[in-house]
Amino acid sequence: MSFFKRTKTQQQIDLELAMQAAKIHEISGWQKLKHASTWKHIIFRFFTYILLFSMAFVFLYPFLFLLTDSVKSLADLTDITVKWIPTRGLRWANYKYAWQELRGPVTLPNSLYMTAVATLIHVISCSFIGYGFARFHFKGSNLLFGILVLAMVIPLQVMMIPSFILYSNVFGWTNSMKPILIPCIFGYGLKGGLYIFIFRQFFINLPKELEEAAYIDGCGFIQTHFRIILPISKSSILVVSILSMVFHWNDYTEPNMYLTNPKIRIFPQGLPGLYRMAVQMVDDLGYVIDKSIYNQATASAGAVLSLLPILVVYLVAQKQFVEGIQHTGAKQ
Amino acid sequence: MRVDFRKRQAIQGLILVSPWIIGTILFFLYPAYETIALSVSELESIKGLQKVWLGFDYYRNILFESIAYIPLYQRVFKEMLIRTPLVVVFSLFIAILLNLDIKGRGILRSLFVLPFLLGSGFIMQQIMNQGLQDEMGETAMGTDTTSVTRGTILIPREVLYYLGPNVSNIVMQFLARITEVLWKCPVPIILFLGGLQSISGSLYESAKVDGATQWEMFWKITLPMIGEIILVSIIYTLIDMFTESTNVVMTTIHSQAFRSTRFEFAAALACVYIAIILVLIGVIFGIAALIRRSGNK
Repeated sequence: MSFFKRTKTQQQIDLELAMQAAKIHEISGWQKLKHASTWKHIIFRFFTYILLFSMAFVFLYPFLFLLTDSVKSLADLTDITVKWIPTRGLRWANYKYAWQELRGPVTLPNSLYMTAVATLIHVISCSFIGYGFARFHFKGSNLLFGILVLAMVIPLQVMMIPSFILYSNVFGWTNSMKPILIPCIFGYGLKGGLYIFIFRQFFINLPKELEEAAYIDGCGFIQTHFRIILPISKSSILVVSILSMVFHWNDYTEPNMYLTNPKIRIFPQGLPGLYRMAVQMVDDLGYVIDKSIYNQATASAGAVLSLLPILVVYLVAQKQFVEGIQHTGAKQ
Repeated sequence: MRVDFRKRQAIQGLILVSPWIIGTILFFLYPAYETIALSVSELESIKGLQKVWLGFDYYRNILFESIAYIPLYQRVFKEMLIRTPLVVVFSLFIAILLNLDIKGRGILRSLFVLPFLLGSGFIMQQIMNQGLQDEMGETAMGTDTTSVTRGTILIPREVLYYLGPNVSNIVMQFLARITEVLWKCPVPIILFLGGLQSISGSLYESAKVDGATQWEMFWKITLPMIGEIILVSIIYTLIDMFTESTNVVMTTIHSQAFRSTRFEFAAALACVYIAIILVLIGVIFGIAALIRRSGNK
């Protein structure tokens, strides 16, 4: 923090102006190895790539398997000599069957709706509450923060039965997405405490000068939050929205409890059923039923289908990680 | 004047936090109260949770009478203490590499969060089991000390035959450990990337002008600036492992509650478990507060 408080020398201001003119101010110091000699540079890059790609391979391996599995025909699946590349042609029909079984036309819009609404609410409410925790100290604020951590720690399964009774019997939220969406408004919902915590930690780092200036100009504290704090916290908003989105998209526990009506079921909910069918086709009789359209390949296709939307959104969002470099605005 | 300012700040803070306080009473304190009440009583009917006071029998059983449960806690906490520092250091390292200005950064960033995108639940287990069972054979199954996914880094089986059973087992376990750690990394990586991005580039520039090396900049700028994010990552990693439905305590709680339908006993098991983790988290927050205070001086 001392960096921000120190008034800059003329030299630094000149440097900054020069950098701005050259448009290199967006590149942080770690990314610039321009002063390193070329050889050192090349060797460094080489090892970085080897390291990163070898680690990434650990993650990639099962997914490649998933991808090839999803287009295998039944004969390829049972053939022990076929490991990676399907020899009997690609069976794209797997995707069609998976789509039908997961009832895509109904469940996909539901899923998109639930994820989008929950994420939006989470970002707004948790940033609001997180700002309160980060900047305002009052009697008992530490105790409240302790309760926040406590709420984060308790596994969902432990409180499953009391909350179910609360939502369905007391509030009467049956046959709707309310049990999932409404707690989000109050900073609860799926891992809500985590997002408040994340926002708090990011806000603590922000320089106070901006807010003070806003207060002096007569800006209220809620207005300050939405006008001053949120616009400069792009990266924390990005982090929270990615996390909330992915957690909601992939969640089974709560949807399985509350979204039992076929009309409001969400897309990934059908996946365990697909996998179970795939296993049953083998286990009950000891061999794969030839006529069955549901097998390991269909299940894999379903998994790929459920991964696809979230992957696309993430690919778009991760670009913001580069572009959204913050200017903390404390330049004088 | 000063008192006035404080009062105003308190009111403003309370207004900001008020939605959460309402939520806490509705969605947290009530279910938590029910769970604790359940652990000291006997259930008469599941409908409406009718219960009769019983006393601390379940707690006595767990802590002093039965020999089955304490080792379970020990196992989970040992795993947690080994794995959390590794996960945090690894993800910070990876995040810094991913933050470098290198070609293919976008692809790499997507690869490293791939496991997270597919979720940690059902599908993940399916993939891990399906994809790797035939590759790994029995060697991977030998890692019974860990109850985690089997997406282990692969070594050709021929090499393992040459090494002999003992050495290959050690190698496999080592690789299994690294892989476990890697699989836990995506969320801390996302957190760290966000943290690194929020550091203003001009800090590095001015440090460079003053003649700081990369190493010094890491310790003097990067680490202090993302200190708060490191705390989030530690807490997240701990809680993630702690609430993971595949760890032994959670599976025991689940089977006690839904297979043996001993909801009360499961609630008591969970309460003990949460009490221990809270102590651990309290210690971490204490250490963080000490570091923060010494940094401010």
